[in-house]
Amino acid sequence: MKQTILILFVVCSFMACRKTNIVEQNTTSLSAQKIIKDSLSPALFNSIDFSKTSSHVLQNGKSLYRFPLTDANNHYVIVITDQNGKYVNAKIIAVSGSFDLTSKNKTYNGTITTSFLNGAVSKEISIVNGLITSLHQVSNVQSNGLKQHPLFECADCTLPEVIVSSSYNSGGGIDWASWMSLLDLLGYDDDYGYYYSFDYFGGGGGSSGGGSGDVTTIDREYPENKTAIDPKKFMDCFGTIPDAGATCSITIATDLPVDGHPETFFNWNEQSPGHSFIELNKSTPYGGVSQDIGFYPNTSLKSLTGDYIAAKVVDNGGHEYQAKYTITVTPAQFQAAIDKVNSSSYKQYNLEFYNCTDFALDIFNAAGGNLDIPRHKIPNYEIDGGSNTPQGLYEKIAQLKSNGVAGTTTTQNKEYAGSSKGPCN
Amino acid sequence: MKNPLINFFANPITQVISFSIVLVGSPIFGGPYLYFVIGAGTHGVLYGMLGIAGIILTLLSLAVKAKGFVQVAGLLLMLFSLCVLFYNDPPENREITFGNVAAIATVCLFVLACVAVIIKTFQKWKNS
Repeated sequence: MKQTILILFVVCSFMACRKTNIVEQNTTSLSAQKIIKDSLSPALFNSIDFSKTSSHVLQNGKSLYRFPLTDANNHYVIVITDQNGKYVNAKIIAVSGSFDLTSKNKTYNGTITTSFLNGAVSKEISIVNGLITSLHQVSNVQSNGLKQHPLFECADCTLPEVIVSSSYNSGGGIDWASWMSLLDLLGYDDDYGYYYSFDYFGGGGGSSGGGSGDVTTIDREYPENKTAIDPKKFMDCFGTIPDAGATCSITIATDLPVDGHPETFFNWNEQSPGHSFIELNKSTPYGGVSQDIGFYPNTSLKSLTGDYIAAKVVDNGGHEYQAKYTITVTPAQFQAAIDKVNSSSYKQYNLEFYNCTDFALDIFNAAGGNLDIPRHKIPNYEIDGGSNTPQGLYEKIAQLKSNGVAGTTTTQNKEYAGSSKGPCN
Repeated sequence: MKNPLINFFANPITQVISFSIVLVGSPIFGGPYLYFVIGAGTHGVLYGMLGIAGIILTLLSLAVKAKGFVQVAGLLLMLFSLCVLFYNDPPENREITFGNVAAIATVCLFVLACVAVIIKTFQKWKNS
């Protein structure tokens, strides 16, 4: 038995090992040097401090080399080679910038100049708040009632390409360092989140040196199976329909956790508390636009922490519902709802305080819905007064229906929302 | 064979903890399995009842004579509980667990505990 386990252990260990061919790495390193020797001017090549060369094998097998130039700080020759040491890309990179330590989220501002190895400038890239501006199309600024946020092209690409880290040094002061996503800078999609150290300075209390290693990996969170949308692009579609003669309506809909059982708070079979979403509709005799959207946590597995977590807005076209309430609104009220969508989509998800039902109610009430629903206490997350839930929304719509309020619908089975038009540019 | 690593992972407490922290959920709600086991168990849902029975049996193995047998019985109930959950779950719920690195890590931890319990029980059975 001892032997069996020993053999199993050895086999598992062997299988867990990754083959590393040191001879091959040295070969590729030499070929990287050869690439720059062939292409750089002799003066520039001679200013390389080869003793400070760093290399990093990427997960896709390619290697990234940084050859520091001694003529200035943060001046490097970057070479990417494939597994066989063959040239993939090479650029000279000069970084100049400064830390903005006055802002709440410490950021980095500056410029990065990339040049070809012959010295010709390839690109001048400006970095604002750590973001490479050319990679993010700042289309507008919206107010969420608290502070101004730039609207970027995609809702989830908010991790800056340049980030600032801090650490306590031995003197009790704080060391600041910037980390840059070089692959993003060179125009690659960095799926692995590699960040390379750049600028560094020690704060008060004395400095302890260059800080931690040369490269770090930052886990990037990708949205789960519900694809995030850019709500602004969805809302822009309504601008294509003139207000004059248009009929505007807003529908709030709820999908109960268990179909036909409004008394059930949670579907334990499917781990689902149900869902609430909103439908905006603007139509004229010549055509119209309808958009269904809902609010979700970006990573649902974090929802039980009870913390505010990153959220996303999702296209809920075709989503099932058991109750809905539709009101006709004026174009001005409709615009207020659109503004609310744009601002609320920046909010973070919280199981108790700001969930999908809160988001839907926010928009519905911004357009004059005046809907106040019964609140329920979520087991183990019981807050004073309870939380807004899809079940509470169903109860309210059922109550309105029994009072004869127009626009209310409930069903024992399920019905489906229409499809959304989708994004407009 | 006294392997401290196997002993650690085969411990009933480790087994219960690794089972409880498996991350499961739906696109809008998720977290440690224990939350769902207790909720579902108290509402008469099969995977919840199996899970609760599995936890009770496993903890019971700390106090009874036939430790190995009771612990393996608890382990089987736990495995059934997870199988019932994943079998009946909509595909998008399974994606939540098997599409997330942290969630996969928690599943792997539980699998490790299962393997350790089986190895330890087999060793005891062979030596007896």
